[in-house]
Amino acid sequence: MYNITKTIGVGVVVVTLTVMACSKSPSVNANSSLFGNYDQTAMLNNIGNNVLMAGITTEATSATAAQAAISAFAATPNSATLTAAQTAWATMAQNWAIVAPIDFGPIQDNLIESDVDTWPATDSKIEAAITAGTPATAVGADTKGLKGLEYLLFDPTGNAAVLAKYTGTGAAGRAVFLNSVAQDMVTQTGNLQSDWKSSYLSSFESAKGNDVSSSVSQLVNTISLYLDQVKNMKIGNPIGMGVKINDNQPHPTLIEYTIAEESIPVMVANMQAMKAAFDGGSGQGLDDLLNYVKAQNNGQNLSTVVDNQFNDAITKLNAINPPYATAVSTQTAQLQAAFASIKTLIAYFKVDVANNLGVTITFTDTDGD
Amino acid sequence: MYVSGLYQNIINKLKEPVDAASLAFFRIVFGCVMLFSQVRFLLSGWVSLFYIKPTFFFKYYGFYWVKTLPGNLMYLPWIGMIIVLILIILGKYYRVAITLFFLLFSYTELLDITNYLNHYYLITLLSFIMIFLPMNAAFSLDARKYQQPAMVSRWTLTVLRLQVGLVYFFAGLSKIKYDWLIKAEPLKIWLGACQNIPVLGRFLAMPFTAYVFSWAGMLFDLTAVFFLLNKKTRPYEYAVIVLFHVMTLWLFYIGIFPLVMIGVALIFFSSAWHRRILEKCFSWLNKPVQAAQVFVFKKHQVAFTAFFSLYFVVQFIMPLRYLFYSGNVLWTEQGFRYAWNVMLMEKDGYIDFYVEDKITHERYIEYPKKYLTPLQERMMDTQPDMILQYAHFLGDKYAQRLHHPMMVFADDYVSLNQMAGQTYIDPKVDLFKETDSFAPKKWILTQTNK
Repeated sequence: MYNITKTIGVGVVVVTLTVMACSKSPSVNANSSLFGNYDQTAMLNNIGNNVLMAGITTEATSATAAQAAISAFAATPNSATLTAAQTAWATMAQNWAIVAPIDFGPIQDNLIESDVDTWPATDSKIEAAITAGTPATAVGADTKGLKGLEYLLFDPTGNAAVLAKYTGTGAAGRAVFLNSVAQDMVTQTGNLQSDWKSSYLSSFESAKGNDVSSSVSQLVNTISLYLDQVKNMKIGNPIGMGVKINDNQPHPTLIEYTIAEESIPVMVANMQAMKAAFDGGSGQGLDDLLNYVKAQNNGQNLSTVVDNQFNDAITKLNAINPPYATAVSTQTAQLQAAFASIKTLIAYFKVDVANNLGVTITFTDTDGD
Repeated sequence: MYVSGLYQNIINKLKEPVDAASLAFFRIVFGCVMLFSQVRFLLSGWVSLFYIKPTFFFKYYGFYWVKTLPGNLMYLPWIGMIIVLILIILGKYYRVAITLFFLLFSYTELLDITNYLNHYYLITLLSFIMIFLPMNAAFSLDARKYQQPAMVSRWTLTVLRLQVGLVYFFAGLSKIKYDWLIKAEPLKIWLGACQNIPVLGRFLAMPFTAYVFSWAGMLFDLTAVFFLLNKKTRPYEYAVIVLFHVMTLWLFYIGIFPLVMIGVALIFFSSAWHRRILEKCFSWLNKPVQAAQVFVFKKHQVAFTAFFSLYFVVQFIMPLRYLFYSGNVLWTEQGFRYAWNVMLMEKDGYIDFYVEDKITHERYIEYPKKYLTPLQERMMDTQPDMILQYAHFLGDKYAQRLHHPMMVFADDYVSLNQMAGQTYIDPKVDLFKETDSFAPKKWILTQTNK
């Protein structure tokens, strides 16, 4: 009789050793083979430094500038300081729009995205915090951040109403809370910047390949997900084509920035930021990697198709005339065109890009509404 | 005549008595693997995730009447299965226990197509077969009254081997496809994702490796049963089986399928080997004193012959039924399930629905995530019968709410094995009007990107 026990024994030992030797862990200097000789280092360095880190730095700088302008307004509330504070806030919101789509790493792990960008803000909670003298560090995400500042710095009826709140009764408490929210923004964006600088950028650059923890996978996933956010939350819900709100009716109260006129430029900035993360701006990006694996779509390079679709979506967004709250009822054709364009782009990402780069779309459900 | 002589030989061989230890061995291995699997299922929180939390369930064709139990009562089938599995392992009230297991397991499987897995289907089949076999004739509490070693007809062992062998064989046959052999897809994509594994990763991710694995996998599956039947090659083949399945487990995260196959393939070993192992570990199941009664399993032989002949004819037809449909089975998925199409494709999709009021012509967009879990959505994206079912669910919902006749359209974009994505379901076809059947689904668009 053959000695099967021995055979199995040897089999088990071999297998165990193999498994031990190969337990999955992100390796620092892995050689790419699906991606052949393609220089992932150059690509990830370029995206990491020139796109992502650059965006984060700009945002942190503008948060500091906004805090200074807001503090000046709080100290001396007048028409000029208010306008300056509003302008600085708008710049910060625009720059945040560049950072927000890249929702992985410290921005997510440390809940920065949530603290900075939860919307809508809850007005009653903000008023309650002002009355109670609670600082921004001790309130919920819907009581501060960019949308909290929007509520504190703008009024649907105009700037006179804002100034009245900072000069009349209870003005002092309001100014204190305003300052603390602006300061919190500086802290949050500063933390994001230092987290990236000190360690996350280098892990981003070294996470090569295309497994779940790789940077390529993170990028494809985060772009797919945020495109969904723009389409469903920022356009879909306001025109009644959202997940839960699909009555085809306008819902102007559901737009992103309900008081300040920032919704359209912020969406455009979102799209441009995702395009830059995809094509690496002027340097190496995922588009080059797609070219390397010869990804095709209808006889064209997939990279070109995706880039063109980004441009198409941006053009369609720019074709919407402000104010956005009115556009959602008067320019439904333009909004639906932008919606459809982004939808096509999502299909390219979730299906073609993911399939060609061997990336798994992880389907984190972050619909929110 | 030679043919009738051969036939007579086979019949005689199938009737010849063999040691019931083989059946007992299989019963205990099956019981243990399933016990592990069901306990794992419970502990992973999957009962709640798959069967309590979802608000919508994808039904199997012909089994629309199967319903979930309310709330936490849904845990009962698993508790029941764990109890009967212990009885199966011990061989106590075996016939009742295995029948209950078959019913409970099939019930949980029939609740949602989303969770269809080839190995679950195999478990259903094996537990069904085992209802009719004397798996408790030896090494069981039921058999303490019988003289040991108890003997059974060889055919009882053959049907189990045939069932296990069919899985390998058809899994191999299904790999003889252009994508698998010539393009080495989807292994090229999947192994590509393994490149960060230290030391071996870079070799695994090479396209060359994908070709080696594709061809070796095909040959391994096709030949497994023959090498297992041959006494000389059996131990080596089994070592390869263990290696092969552990590797798929490690590389592709495919749950307990590898464990099931490593377990059930042991049925090919000799009865003597089965007995040796059982006597070492399970002799306590047999009463030490000699019992007087002799185990006999000879009733209803004609009925059994007819029954298992029919059963295996069906088992041979099921994996080949895709030939009755035109187009690539991986694309249309007509005849894809119950056919041992294992790990054959990387298919990604993105779908939305539009529900249109036939009177006002207002079109409402419907996102799958509104009523589906991410897993259900992902499974539906690329599977036509699920898409159809969901379209009907939406149509009914709107018709009920708006009291108007409705139409439902799908907007689905799908890519298969690294080919450019394309529209999958005819966007002009009102799916609410279509019904599921075995007829070809004409609203699945032809695969143009190959």
